[in-house]
Amino acid sequence: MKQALEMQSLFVRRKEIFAFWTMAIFLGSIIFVSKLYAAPKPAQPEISVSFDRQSFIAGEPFQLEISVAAQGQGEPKISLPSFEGMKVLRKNVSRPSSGYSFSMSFGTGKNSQRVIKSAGTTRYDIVMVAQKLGKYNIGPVKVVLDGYTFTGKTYPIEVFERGTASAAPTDAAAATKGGLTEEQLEGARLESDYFLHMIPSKRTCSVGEMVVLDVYLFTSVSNIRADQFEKEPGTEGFWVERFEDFDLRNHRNQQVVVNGVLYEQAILKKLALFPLKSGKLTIAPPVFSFVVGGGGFMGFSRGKMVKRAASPVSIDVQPLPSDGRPSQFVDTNVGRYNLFVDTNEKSLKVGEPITVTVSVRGQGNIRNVELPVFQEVDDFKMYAPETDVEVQARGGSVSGMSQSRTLFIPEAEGKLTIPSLSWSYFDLVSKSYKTLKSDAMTINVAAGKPATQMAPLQSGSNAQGGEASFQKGPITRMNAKMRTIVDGVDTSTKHDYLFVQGWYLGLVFGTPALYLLFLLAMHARKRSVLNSQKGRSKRAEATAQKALHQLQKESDSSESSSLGSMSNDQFFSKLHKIVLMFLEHRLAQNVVGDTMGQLAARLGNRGIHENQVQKIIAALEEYEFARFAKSGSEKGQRQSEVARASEIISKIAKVVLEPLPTTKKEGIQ
Amino acid sequence: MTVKWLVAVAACASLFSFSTPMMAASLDVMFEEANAEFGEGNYEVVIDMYTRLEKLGVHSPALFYNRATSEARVGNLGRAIQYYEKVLAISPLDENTVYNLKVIRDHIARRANQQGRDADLAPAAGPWRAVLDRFTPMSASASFLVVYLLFFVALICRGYLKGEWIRLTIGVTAGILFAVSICMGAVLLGKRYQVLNAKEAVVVSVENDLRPVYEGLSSTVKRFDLEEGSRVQIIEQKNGWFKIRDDQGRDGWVKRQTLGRI
Repeated sequence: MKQALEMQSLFVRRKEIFAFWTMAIFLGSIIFVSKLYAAPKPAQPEISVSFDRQSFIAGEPFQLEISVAAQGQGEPKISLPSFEGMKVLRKNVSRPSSGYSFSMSFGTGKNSQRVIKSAGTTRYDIVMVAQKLGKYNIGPVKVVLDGYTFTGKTYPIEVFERGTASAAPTDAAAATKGGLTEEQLEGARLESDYFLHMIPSKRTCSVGEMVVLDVYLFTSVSNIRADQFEKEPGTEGFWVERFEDFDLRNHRNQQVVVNGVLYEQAILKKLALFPLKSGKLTIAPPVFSFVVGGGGFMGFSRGKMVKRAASPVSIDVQPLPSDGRPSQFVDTNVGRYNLFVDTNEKSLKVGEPITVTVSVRGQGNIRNVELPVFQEVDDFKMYAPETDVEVQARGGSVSGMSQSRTLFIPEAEGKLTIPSLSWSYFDLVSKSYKTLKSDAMTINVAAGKPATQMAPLQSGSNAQGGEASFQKGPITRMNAKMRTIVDGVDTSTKHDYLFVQGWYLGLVFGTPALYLLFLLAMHARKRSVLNSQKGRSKRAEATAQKALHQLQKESDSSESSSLGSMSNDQFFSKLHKIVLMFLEHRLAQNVVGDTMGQLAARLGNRGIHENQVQKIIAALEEYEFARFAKSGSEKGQRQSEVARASEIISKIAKVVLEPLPTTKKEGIQ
Repeated sequence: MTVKWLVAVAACASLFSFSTPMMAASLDVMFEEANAEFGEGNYEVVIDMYTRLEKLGVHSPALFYNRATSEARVGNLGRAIQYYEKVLAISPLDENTVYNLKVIRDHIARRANQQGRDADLAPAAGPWRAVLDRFTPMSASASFLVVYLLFFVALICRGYLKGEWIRLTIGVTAGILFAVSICMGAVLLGKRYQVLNAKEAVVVSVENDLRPVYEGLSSTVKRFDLEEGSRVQIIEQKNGWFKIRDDQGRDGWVKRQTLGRI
């Protein structure tokens, strides 16, 4: 029984042991399999934190960039720190949608491939401000990836009061990047809304060394359009190349904080400048205009036109060193270059042309490079070279090729040599002068037609008519560009100018003299007319009395005449006329044609008494009536009328008349 | 005795009357010969012949232009600029002269730049100079004379005409003509001065492409340098020295032979 019990307990223990091991093996298998297919621990994500500055000032916003580059099966879960004591003004997240990859494969062992689900960088641009002074801890950033948690560093920063800020702690300082340095902002005309600023790639350089100038618009306002330069940057003293690949559409605006204000930084222009001389060269400020706002409902709002000018930028251009300067060096040959000299033919006949090509290739102000030239070459006739330049300004550098093609015509047969060329440039990398030398070329020339019998070939010398063959040198090259003399003959002298000729001077000085004579004649004529009028006025009474006497005499004689007596009409008409003529002469005014009213007014205006005026008017009216009377007047009546007229004339003649009005000239002309 | 004198006077008069056209013909021949020498490339000879023509009184744009071009051929760039400037004083719009002058000035500027200097030889033309440069002596003379005579004609017409409105109109016209004739007179005088009595000169003689300008007469204190071909105003002349003023308003003294009057 006891044995049976022992056996039974042994059996149970064995079952337990079996069950235990079975369970253990099962669990071990599960663990093995799960371990086999479980995700491996992902690589430590790269967590970086950067600040846009080194000093932090209370109340002044600053920019923080957090980037997490992770690679794992799942997407990383990023926990940003709480930024206690800070106020977050803006937070932008850029997730790496295009940067993530997805691939999967199955297998075991060494040939198995891990499942990679995602890889990329997530960026946070955070603008925040610390309101209070003191020390803050930025971080840590926590990343959970594939179940694993990774923790980044903590960056302590200290916030100072404005004006007392000192350098930030080392960790934050090391992380600082992306903002604008003080040198870049030097001289910026800062404004709170928008400002224009030029940033050169360097402020000190050598003659001929490239400086890249960027022109930026900084704006804290978002809605801007219709941008254009009203004035381009003034680049006097520089040779300018434009980058052919510069396209505003390819540039993304950046956010920067300048003096506590958050701006969008937009690049407007990018130029390559090559200083042509040493000294302090100033880039004159550009002016940029743009429209702020506008659009609105149906686009009715026009917005506000704004102009901004940048501050001028000075570049300190150092002269090239004098040590080791080759004698033939010219200041425009600065950069990194290679020299190539080649010809299209090595064997030809006398009189046949060959072209020797000299080219310089490399980086620098290639357009202004002065190419080496051949001096006089024995047994060759040379023509002016044709030059050609190809420039590629892209990717922030300027390179290309400058080439000259010179036409050579051999004038003798045999093995002729085109000598080697040496050319110097200043190497900006080694900061030294380098001289390149080409190989001399041997040309096999066979007998042929002499060059002098050939038709004119090309260019250069043609402009100079029948001049001698072309010679080298800068003066000759200059003369090749110039126009030649005029064939015409002109041997005129200073005496041929109009303004020194007698007839011209006679006309100039004689004309005013003639006009003066004309004025004098006019004056004399006027005086004569006036004198005549005055004389008539003085003689008016005598003339009138004489006429009256003559009339009386005619009237008397006509009565005794057999031809018949003078009619009333004739007598009174003449009497009327004598009185009117007297008045006209006396007044020196034309009275013929006046109505009686006008005549009375005229007489009154000249100071004749009203009674006298009435008498004159009455007499004249009576003469008018008497002319048309049916019965003839008697001799006595006519005599009394003549006497009456004589009396009126005598009295009027004694009146001192008022002068004629000066405003309107009348009278007898 | 009286008859002899009369014959002598008549002979002199006839000689004089014949000598002028004969001299003109010889000048023409010399001019043509000089042009032909230019074609042969004998520039020194050409310059000598043109100089003789100038000394014989020839004062023509063609002579000055050809002389300037010959001077450029032998590398006398200052002298070339001087003579091109002389052409422009007479014929300011001459296309060939303007073109060649620019080529030479560009060459000098380039040469100066290569030596680390800034040289802009194109003279800064003030408004008065710009006005003068629009007229030739002929056009200035003719324009002035026409306006001037029209002014007097208007005055005379006004004296004869009686209508109030027409007198007013002619009076206003005469006033305008008077103002214009004053302006044209000033232009004419300016042009006359520019052509016959100019006090402008060009640096024609240099040492190492530059002409030093000194502080005082015979001084050794250098104030500044002028590039070859720079245009200056002559302010004063003393003991073989000129006091000059350049385009930037700087004054100084230079030796007389280093300048060529325009």
